[in-house]
Amino acid sequence: MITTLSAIVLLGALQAPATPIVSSSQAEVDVRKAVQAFYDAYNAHAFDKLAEFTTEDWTHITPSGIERRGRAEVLTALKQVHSTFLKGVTDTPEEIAVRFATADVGIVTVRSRTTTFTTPDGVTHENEGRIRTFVVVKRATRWLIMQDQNTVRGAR
Amino acid sequence: MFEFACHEGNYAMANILRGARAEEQRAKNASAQVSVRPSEVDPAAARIASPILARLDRAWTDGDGGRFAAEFTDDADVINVSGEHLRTRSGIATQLQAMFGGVFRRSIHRSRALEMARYLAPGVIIVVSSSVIDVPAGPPAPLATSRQTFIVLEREGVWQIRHWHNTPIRAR
Repeated sequence: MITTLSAIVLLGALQAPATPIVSSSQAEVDVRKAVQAFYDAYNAHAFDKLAEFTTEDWTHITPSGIERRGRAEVLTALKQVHSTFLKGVTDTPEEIAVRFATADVGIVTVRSRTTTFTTPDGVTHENEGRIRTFVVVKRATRWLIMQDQNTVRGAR
Repeated sequence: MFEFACHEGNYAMANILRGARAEEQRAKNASAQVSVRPSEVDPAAARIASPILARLDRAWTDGDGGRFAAEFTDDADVINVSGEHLRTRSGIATQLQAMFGGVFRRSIHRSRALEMARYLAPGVIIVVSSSVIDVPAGPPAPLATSRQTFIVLEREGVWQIRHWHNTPIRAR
């Protein structure tokens, strides 16, 4: 029995990827903090605070597939839409999963739900489910969001 | 093959041949070179990303879920245009094969532009690209054009996609 178990464990070890997924609990805590801070600032509509935990070259891809490059451009766009049709809208995380590509690159998947809003085309989006990927990188000693992309769940 | 007395057969033959030419053209379009936006693209990263995109296009167009999923790591995650989260290479293969037999039957996938490709760390690149799916059966038109971010890792000298996130491009 022990031999069989050992063989299974050994086989599993042999099949492990050459570059192991790094899972440092402190790194995970720090990455989660950056993502949670993003949502806190977003929901408080304190967009200037986003500069504290995003890189200068942050790229943001909206649920409409529009790409914004660079923190300055992203913040300008966020302020614009949140002063019009997204005014007062919040996005609440339901599940946050953190994985690491390397010791310095985290990939975070967040399932969330927004409050209801109506887009300029007249369509009402009632408590829309979202799924967003954040790429979070370690720069010096800090973990910063350098890319995020958002997709509507159940879009047809 | 050609029967002068068979009216239906003669007309059908023309349509069969026309269909075959259309298939060839669609396959040719699918393997067309991906365009590159130079300012955002590190050539070294592009040399890794472009062949992967070309292989994904060919696998999709051939309706081969296993070959498509072979470009992903064992533990890969895919967020598709419907916001579904597919997990692991075998999960991706199974889901795609089901789609190739259903809504995306005989569809063509074309990567249109490499919009960003850069190293995040040694052995890790991030890529943003856009693509279009031509679905002969008609729908789902709103999901046909999309933008994707993906993370590619080098493991034992092989570059594979660890994470793929796709979003339909639509006017709002």
